[in-house]
Amino acid sequence: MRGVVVAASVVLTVVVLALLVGTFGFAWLHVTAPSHVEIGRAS
Amino acid sequence: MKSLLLRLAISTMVASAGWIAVGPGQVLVAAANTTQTKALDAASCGGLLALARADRPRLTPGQRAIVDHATVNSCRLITTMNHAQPTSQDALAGCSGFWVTFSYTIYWNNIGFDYLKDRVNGGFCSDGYWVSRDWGPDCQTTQFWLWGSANDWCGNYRPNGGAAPYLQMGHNFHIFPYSAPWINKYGYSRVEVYSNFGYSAWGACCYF
Repeated sequence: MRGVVVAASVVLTVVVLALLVGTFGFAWLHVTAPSHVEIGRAS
Repeated sequence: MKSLLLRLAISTMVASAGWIAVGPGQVLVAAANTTQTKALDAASCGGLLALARADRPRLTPGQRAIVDHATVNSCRLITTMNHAQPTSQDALAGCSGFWVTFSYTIYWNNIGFDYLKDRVNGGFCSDGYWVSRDWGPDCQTTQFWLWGSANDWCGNYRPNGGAAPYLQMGHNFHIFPYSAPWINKYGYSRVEVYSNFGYSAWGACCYF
């Protein structure tokens, strides 16, 4: 039972951290031009 | 080439007195869209004057006066340059596909991480002047795995109110965090294709 609780806590922590990273990472985004543009062409 | 023009001039003159007198003592041989004038050698000029004088009854009084006073140094040969020349654009008439990837990258210790890529692919045809759609565009956005994306517009656009001979393909999109999908940031990509299949590409991301 204790093992299940620990595993669930770990999973929950990872999910919360991921959501925080996603949210703050998204908030960090600012307007910018593309870092690079690749163009392939075929006739 | 010169002899060909000369023969043409002579035959024209014999047939219809198609030479033009442009001033005292000068006779222009051949009349057309002209780009270059040079003196005709004395022997050829003498021959032409002889032909013109033999055609005297068909000349106007003014033309007769000029022919009478012309010398073998009075002739000018006009070379015509009115042939349609193929241009580089003509040579590039046809169809071409473009696969364009716009990458947005952050760097940490010289290690880059692409947090967003937007791909816009499309085909275009050109007749050397007017660019038209061939296929697409196809648009796809891939982004950091904790974010989602959605397509707002993917299509072609002809600038100048539809009058421009060139064509743009473009993609408008927005991204959002899965943790708060109601918060959106927007981006766009544009590729402008010209009649010689030159192109410009630009875009931006991510603004509220």
